[in-house]
Amino acid sequence: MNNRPVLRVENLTTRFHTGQGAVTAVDGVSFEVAPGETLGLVGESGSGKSVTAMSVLGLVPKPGRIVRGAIELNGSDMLTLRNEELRRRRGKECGMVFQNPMTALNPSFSVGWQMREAITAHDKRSDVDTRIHRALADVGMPDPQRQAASFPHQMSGGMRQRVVIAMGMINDPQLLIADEPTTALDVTIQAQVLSLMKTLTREHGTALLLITHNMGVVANMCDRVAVMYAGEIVEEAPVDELFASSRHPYTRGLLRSIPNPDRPRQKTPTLPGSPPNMAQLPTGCRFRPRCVFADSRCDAHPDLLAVADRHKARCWKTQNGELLTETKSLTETTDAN
Amino acid sequence: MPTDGTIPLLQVKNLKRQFNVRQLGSRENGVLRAVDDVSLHLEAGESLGIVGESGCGKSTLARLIVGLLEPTDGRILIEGGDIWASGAAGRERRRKFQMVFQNPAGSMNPRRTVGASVSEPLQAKGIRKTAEAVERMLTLVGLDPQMADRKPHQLSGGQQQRASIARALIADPAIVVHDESIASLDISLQAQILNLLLDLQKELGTSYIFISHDLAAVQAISHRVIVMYLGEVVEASDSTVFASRPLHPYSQALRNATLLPDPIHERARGDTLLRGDVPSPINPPVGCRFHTRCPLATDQCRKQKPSLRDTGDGHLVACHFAGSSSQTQVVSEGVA
Amino acid sequence: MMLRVIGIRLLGMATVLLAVSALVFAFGALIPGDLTSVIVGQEGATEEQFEEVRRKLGLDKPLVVQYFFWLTNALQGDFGTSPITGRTVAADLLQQIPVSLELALLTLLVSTLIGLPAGIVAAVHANKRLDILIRTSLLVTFSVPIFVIGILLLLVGSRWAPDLFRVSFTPWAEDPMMHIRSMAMPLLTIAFPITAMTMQMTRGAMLEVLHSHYVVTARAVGVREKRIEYLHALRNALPPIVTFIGFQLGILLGGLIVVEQIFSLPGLGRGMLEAINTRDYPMVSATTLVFATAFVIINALVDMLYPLLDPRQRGR
Repeated sequence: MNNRPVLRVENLTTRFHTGQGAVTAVDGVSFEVAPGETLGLVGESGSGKSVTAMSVLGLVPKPGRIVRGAIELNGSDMLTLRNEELRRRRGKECGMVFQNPMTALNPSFSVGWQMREAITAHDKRSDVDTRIHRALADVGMPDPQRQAASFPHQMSGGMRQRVVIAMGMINDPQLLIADEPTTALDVTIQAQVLSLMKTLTREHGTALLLITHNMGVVANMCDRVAVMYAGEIVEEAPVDELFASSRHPYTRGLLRSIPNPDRPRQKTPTLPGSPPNMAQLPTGCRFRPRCVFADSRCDAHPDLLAVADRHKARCWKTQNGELLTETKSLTETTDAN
Repeated sequence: MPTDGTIPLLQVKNLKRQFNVRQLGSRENGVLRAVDDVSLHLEAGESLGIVGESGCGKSTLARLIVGLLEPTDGRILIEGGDIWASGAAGRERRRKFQMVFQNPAGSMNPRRTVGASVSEPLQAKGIRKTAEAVERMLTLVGLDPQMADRKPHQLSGGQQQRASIARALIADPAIVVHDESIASLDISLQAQILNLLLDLQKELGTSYIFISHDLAAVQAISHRVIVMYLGEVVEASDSTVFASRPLHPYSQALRNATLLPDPIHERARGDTLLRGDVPSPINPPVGCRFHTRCPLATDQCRKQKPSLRDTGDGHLVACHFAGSSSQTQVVSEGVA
Repeated sequence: MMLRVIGIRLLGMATVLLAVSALVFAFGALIPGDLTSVIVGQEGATEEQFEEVRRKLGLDKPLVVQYFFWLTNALQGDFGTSPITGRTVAADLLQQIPVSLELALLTLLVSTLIGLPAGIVAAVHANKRLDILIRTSLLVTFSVPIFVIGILLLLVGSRWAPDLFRVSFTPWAEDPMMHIRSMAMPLLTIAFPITAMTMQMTRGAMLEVLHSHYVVTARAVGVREKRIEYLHALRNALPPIVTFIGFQLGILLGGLIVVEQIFSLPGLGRGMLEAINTRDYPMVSATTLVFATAFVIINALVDMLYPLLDPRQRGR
């Protein structure tokens, strides 16, 4: 087996030039995805997780631009490729699943037609229909022939997301990027779709880069997790280690601020404040204004460094071997954010 | 229902709301029964959670309760009086409700200041001097009173939702209905708002109806929980009891589908997935509406509609088998 | 089911046209003075002469009855005789309709052939040099009123292309070459602003579609950019564009009056203007009805095109 990572992102920096000045949405992000591995990229809105995903395929919307870094997909640097070479890799070496199945499919064309486009963009073999039907059957669609002829508006949200997944997987890519694939779905449908993605990627040996804000989805799906905050990765660890002993106060706070359905009418510990305005980032550690552990060291911006085996964190405290034991309560709740 | 004979703050009796659905050129002029024979009650100072997936009728129910929609049939009584009574009495009763919506930016006039928006319910009552009340209310929801002079777009999403909570509470309503009020917020902010709502209830004694697709969020707020499926109530229970023992197979599926931030638990999860999609509410399945997806469905379920029955202690469930020992075993294997 | 839809549509069209005809008739009847005064003349006529003519024309009967007679005749193509020219209104209309129809359809053809591709290119190159070039050059023509363009063209034409300018209207049957030359200038005049509108509308519709999620999906599966723009996106931008082009025909009908006047084309617009000036009531009513019918038919056609263009309109 080849041990070269499917995807290697190195010091990626993506910037949006707007009327009010430049916003660095992704700031020096590095990570790798091994073959067959599922890496979770976790963060809240504005953390840069979706822009990171779009950067990989060169699909950053205007006025965004990758200003620095390297993105290697199967060993070739995506940032030096010409447009046509980039296009040939999209969908072929790396598929993508988007958040909203209601808008991700073209309303004017049948589902089969759109899947045909995804195939013929890369090769013109004759067994296209068979491949479409097999792909639809693989994602659990009953009666694939009939489904291929139907239009997106004739399907439920869950069915459409299955089609989007089938399209992402149809050229058997080595990597699938899924950007909040279940956020727009009902919970019982979410469970079905996640289970499907798990089965498919396992059967095909596909690596998965799963972008989500939902820690439950991460726990259910991922082998490894990278947590993003304000454009940076602040912690990276194997999934069990991250949930059991997180070494960044943001991860810690995020994990604790999820209400437990088994304990009704109890206050949930919260992170104070809200994510920073990306146009006016705090100096030093970007999490400092919301951090209950902050001290004078945090005036300087910390790097992402190893804190344990395969475990990195961007925090002065844990990098010096200190533990995140709460001296102050995290349950500061009703303060202004 | 309370046993001592006092009238509950809110009573909803056999509420129905239908929508006519027309398609040009098609003979299928269907009737969508968005809310179909729903009864519930709410005591002063209590929170009632309503949970269900898209198409279950929870948002229609919210609009019916606050009087934004008129029911097709059934009654809504506040302190024993019908909110659709004619004239001033009905109007006065409808004013005892306030609503907080999912999208805080969309529910506030972008051209008016936050303070002006927050003071709206007071002005609707004819109160002119509102500055002091606005300041007090903004402080109470954890905002800087100076934010009253800003426009909504100058506030973050979390701040906007705090402001719309302030607006809902300022005129001292009896009941505030939350329709997915935290769904569009980031997770770290969701917990902040949930805690704020608990604090405010302790302070002001307001009753809440908290409607959400997120079972965990509903549980965090509610004294009692109602589960809806295709326009009907399938289970109603005290939230502590519900947490330990949901009875309806659909409630159990909802509970099972709620992913927990615990990789060990998640890996051990049994595959107790519900089959298929929610059927169209225009022609819902006959018999038990859940039978098309239910792992326990029998011929009886396909023919006979189960009524909402009390299994003891006011725990209501609409299932032929709920509570029987065989049922509990089959469906709860996914719960750790 | 399709027949049912078409049936409903036709019934709707008939209703609208009936309402329009009633309005047209009512306006004619409500305007002070009537046909009698035109025929008999304002001065020197006796009361008896008036009454006589009124009886002959049926103007002494109640309005509803008059309307009923007028409508039954109109349905048979008989709009009466013009008291001014002495010819039947129908004969004049038959002469005028082809001229206006040709001009309108040619304008639509030219403006769509230029405006649609220009709009697509502008949208694809949004805010780049090509987009700005297309928009400024076309929008300048749009901001100038038709009569100014027409007169400018006349002036420029008389100076630089006197041949083209001197040609007065020649029917196709008489001399096809001369006919084309005689239509060139009016066509240019009215096509400019319409092309600009089509371009702007297409650009807007395309831009919206190009920003939609499914375009990103198509890019992410590796579909070629040109194919995304001209097939995936354009297909979705078409419904609003087609609606707008249909709507433009309405604007065109108004523009005809001006253009036909400037270039002395014997079309409906010019006929209408003359009829108004001479208080030729039967002619005015008939022309209005023709305009209204054209508008209703265009709208119905656009409506029926919609399900073809948008699968969501087809029902399940």
